[in-house]
Amino acid sequence: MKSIYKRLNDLNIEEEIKPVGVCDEENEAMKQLVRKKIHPKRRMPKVWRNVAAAAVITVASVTAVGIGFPTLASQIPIFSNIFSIFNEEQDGFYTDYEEYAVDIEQAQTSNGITIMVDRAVYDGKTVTLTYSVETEKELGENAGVNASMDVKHSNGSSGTSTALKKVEDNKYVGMITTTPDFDKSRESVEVSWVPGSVVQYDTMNEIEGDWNFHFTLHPVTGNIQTTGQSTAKEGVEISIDEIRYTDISTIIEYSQKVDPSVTNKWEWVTADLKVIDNLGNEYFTNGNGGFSENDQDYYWSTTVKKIDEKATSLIFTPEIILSEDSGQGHEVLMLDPIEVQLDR
Amino acid sequence: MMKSTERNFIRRLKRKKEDAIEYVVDAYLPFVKAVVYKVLGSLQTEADMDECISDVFLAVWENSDQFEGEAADFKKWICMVAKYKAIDQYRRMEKRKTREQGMDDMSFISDSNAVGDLLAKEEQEELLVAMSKLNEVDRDIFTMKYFLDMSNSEIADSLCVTKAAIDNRLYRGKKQLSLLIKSEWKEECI
Repeated sequence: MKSIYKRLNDLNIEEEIKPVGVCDEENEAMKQLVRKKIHPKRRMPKVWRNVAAAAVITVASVTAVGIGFPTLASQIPIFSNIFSIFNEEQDGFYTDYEEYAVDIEQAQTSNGITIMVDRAVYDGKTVTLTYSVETEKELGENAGVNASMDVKHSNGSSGTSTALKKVEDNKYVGMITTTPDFDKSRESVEVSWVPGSVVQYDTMNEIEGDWNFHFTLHPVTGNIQTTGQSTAKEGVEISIDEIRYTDISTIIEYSQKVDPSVTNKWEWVTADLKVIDNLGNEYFTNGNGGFSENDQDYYWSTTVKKIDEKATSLIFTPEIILSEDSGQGHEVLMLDPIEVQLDR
Repeated sequence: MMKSTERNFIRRLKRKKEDAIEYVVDAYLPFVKAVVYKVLGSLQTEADMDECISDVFLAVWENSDQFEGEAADFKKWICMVAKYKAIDQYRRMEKRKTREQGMDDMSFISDSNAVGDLLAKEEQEELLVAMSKLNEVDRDIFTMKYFLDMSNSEIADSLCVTKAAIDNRLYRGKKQLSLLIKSEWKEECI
């Protein structure tokens, strides 16, 4: 039997359809709606957290290796220590990244723009890459490189990207992360970053170009502590499944179980964690997104910096955000804290 | 990153590359919106219409392998899909209204105009199976009539025949269809 969609091919109807106006926001909103329908099972919130507005502070104290364009072929970084540039605004999150990240040092020039991948690191969960951009023409204060990273063999990924931070005239730095989802842990990851364009957000002007970066990373070493401690309230249960201590970060894997009575009422149930240690240090969390098989029980993960050497336990307070579709109101549900004794 | 363009988007769409459906939204939303608005008009809320429009793109994504042709044919196809989806939604809303009013009276293949109005999904499929036994021309006529809700004169225009010819063919076709459906039903009962 031919499906109706096949039948519709054969129809010979000449009907003149006048297109109606669609504004950019409407177009974007429709894409989002369609994307959501295409992926009913695997939603990745927090994708592309763009810190465009926040990231326009000019940093004067950067160790700049001032070189002219002709020497770029020798692939010397335009800027180094890029992690430290982003470290401060992220509450020391990247303190140990510089030491463990490996030099990639690949530079490519296209359409008057040179992109140089500086260093990258994989902590077993997230690939973080720093890069610099040098342009012939000023990009303005509000620009970004338009592309996420691809990791071979991953089922899906979530990621973040900073806006380009201007460090000198015509020179910018940026950082991009991706958290691939694998069926099993991998001994190495093959990463591709193929930016399609550089975008000036103020004018939405897009400078297209051809840049291709490929490299392989090995995870930094780490120890795993499985816990399984949980807390529940009003139909939502959160359990801390695993804590992974790596040389550069601490990764917390946690999951939520949601009662149908809650999912009937709310379209989205997402769980964030507030993380403090027994000494009172609060840790800035970098959520990695999550995935679900059934659209209500999610496996999340979040990354914090290395835990204070002197701390002996961590206290996790789950904050559940119950929301209607796309910002049509939400409620916050705080669960009782879970204290986990550290076993590093 | 490979990007969809006018030249490659159909191939990429069939291979389920997501950027292809984004390209389709960019390129065809103004047309799809026009078709859906024309059918659903002021009857429904903005949110209902967005729901319908996104259903059109979802149907295009899921049924991309059913599409045959080049980029030029694609516009026609997606507009047809849009019309079909909009009519479908319109009928569902009407059906709900009828039901709410406690007048849930629908007999399949009944009198002239109401025939296609209240087709449930199973009935649609049943009709499609039965239609497959008609000849090519009658199938086109039935598709236009019951899936795209075109009037007899609109069908006549698009096939370059007289309205009387369409009336006639629809009458005979309906009779044939109701026999086909009835006999199938009987077989199932025995």
